[in-house]
Amino acid sequence: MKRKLISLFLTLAIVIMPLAGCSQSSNSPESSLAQTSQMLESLSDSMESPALGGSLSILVESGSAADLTVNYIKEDFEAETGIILNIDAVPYSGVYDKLQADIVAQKGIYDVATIDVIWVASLYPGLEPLDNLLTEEEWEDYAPSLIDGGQMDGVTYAVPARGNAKIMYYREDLFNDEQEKAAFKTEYGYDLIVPETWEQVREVAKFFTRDTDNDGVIDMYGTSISAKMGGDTTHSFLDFACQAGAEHLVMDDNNEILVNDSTHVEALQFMVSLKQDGSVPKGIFEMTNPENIKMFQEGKLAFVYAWASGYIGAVNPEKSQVAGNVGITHVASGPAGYGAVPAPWYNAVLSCSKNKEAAKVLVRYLHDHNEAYAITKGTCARNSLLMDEEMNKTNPQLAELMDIMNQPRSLSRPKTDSWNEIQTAIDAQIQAALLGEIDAQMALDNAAAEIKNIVN
Amino acid sequence: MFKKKENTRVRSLLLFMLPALLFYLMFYIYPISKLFSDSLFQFDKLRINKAFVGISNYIDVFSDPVFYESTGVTIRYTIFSVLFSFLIGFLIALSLQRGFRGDRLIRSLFLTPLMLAPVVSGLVWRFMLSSQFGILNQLLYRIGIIPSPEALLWLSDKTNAFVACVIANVWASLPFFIITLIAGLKGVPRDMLEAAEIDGAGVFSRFLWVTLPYMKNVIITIVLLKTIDSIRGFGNIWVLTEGGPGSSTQTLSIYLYKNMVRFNKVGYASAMAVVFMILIMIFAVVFMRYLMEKKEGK
Repeated sequence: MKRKLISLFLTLAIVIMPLAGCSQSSNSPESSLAQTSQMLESLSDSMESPALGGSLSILVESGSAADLTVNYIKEDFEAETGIILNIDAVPYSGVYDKLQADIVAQKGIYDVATIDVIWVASLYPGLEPLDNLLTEEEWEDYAPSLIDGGQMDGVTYAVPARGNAKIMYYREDLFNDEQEKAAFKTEYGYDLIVPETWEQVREVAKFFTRDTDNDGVIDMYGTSISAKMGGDTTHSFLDFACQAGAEHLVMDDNNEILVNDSTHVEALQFMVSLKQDGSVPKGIFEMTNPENIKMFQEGKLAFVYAWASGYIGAVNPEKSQVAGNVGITHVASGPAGYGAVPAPWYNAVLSCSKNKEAAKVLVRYLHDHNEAYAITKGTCARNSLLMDEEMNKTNPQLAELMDIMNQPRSLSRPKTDSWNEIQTAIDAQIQAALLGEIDAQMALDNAAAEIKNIVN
Repeated sequence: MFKKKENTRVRSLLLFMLPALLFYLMFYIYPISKLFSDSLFQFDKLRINKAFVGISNYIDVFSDPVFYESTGVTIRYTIFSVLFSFLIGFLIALSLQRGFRGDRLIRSLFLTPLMLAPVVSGLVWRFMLSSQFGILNQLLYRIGIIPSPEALLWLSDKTNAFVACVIANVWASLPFFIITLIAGLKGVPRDMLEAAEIDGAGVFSRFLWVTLPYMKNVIITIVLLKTIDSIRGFGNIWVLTEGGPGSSTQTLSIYLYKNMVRFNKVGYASAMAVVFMILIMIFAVVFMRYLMEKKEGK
């Protein structure tokens, strides 16, 4: 009998132990309802239910602007609204996975999430429409491309949190140096300026690619491009496609594949030409934006296209060896002008949220305090803040960002729930072209064929 | 009386087996059943709606050229990883087994990769192998092996990227081989070695005709385990190259991950996972059946 009891106890212990590891996240909003603040009068109906909590859960990418910003405003938000904010910060791919799981399971674990623009097309069935969250005047404070990114079929599912796009960072000391100017003029016949056209990009990049210490090794390149699988390789390519005059990126609204049209081919040929000129590091296939900006910060690049949000790091003396010599401007013009693909992030309310109205309060709060994104990570979304003189004194990248996001040549990526697959197909072909295995036209013809299979 | 005692015995046996059975059901049978079930459906991107498609996903897998390409990469990656892990691990095990001053410290140092998760070890290698920021190329350049730090592009060249992934895997696998082979070497009877020495057998002959036969089962077991581990390998490769440049390092695990997580093709990825699992099982059965020594009397 004693042996049987011990066996039973051990059995139960062994079975229960693994189950104990499957407990729900501590962020589950199942705490009892707290009394709401008088400031939340508009929430009366939904907040009175005993099943709802006086707390919200927000899902963000760890280390991102969203993570830093939500932590930045947390204390004030909780003090002003009485709503406790639970922040769940996970790696990039984890945000999508967790949101998807919550939407499918309809558990309401998360109330708000900060999402990448490329996820809107696949997540929108699980998001709450937010057209009425802001007034018309308040919506007009965002660039049309930003608003468009958060919409599907004319309905707004997400409010822009922060915009981002590529701008040009350059070494002021190099471009202002009299010796450099004289040498450039001698070689190329015109004054050394920060490149404004593709031709100037090639020539200036070639000029600054050099062995600075005469040890036989090139230690400074003119510029760099992204060519790593899964990085922002396709994004960089599409930036150039905007400049080449593409009317739609990759495909149009009717899913007609355009990735191998003349504008896209011209864009890829431009990337290949930079590689063939030897003006970009040989290791571009392991590099993406963070590596490129790091090279610039270490003084190994004369100029580079990088995210506007990188400005804060580039001018930080603790991180950047060129901190005092960083200039910024818009990207160079291609045959059709200059522009770039915006890469905004959005705040969205999940339809399965048990505190939708409180969630909308948080999204509204983040709109009202959009400057927090600029303070924490260097960019924001509202035009009024991007133009603000005080903000621009310490964050000149905001004005550049506003300029580029409002350019007619700046186009958004297609709204498709297959974007990741499409991007992977394009990445592979860009690499093949840059490796010299095939020419740009063939590479994009191959990409077009793959994309056709993906979308059909 | 006898029957009652027998029933009691059977009940006790079942009770003791129950935890293992439950564990097996929860963490093995259920996930595999779910995987197989998912492979017969096509899901939308949010995995809310699904449609039964029968074996259509399996037909897609077997008609996908990338599946075969990834299988080829997996096979090459596994062969090179296991071969070099075994050879280098055996050499180190033989050296350490002899014993010398400081061998315990050396042994501890060799075991450090065991303490790192595959993703962490992949990150370490990624930083070391970077052509711009990596310490390895700087070292090779300064001692004159390469003309410049960019002369050897570990992660930007298709062949070198594959080699880099193998190196990282070998590094991570060495501790397991070393520990197990040392244990195996200790199991070789000393008197047999002495007898062989008395009979005039040299070092190499003793190793070939005495040590190796006694270690045969140990070797087969660890080679099988590390082969399966390498076939499934993901963390190192994902962090180093994400399957690139192109698809030069895209193993089946990487391709499967991309389909499941990045592309949300749940049904297709599940079918691929089932095929992958069956291939590994066939390999393991063949390996064990024809290479393990049969026990006497069976």
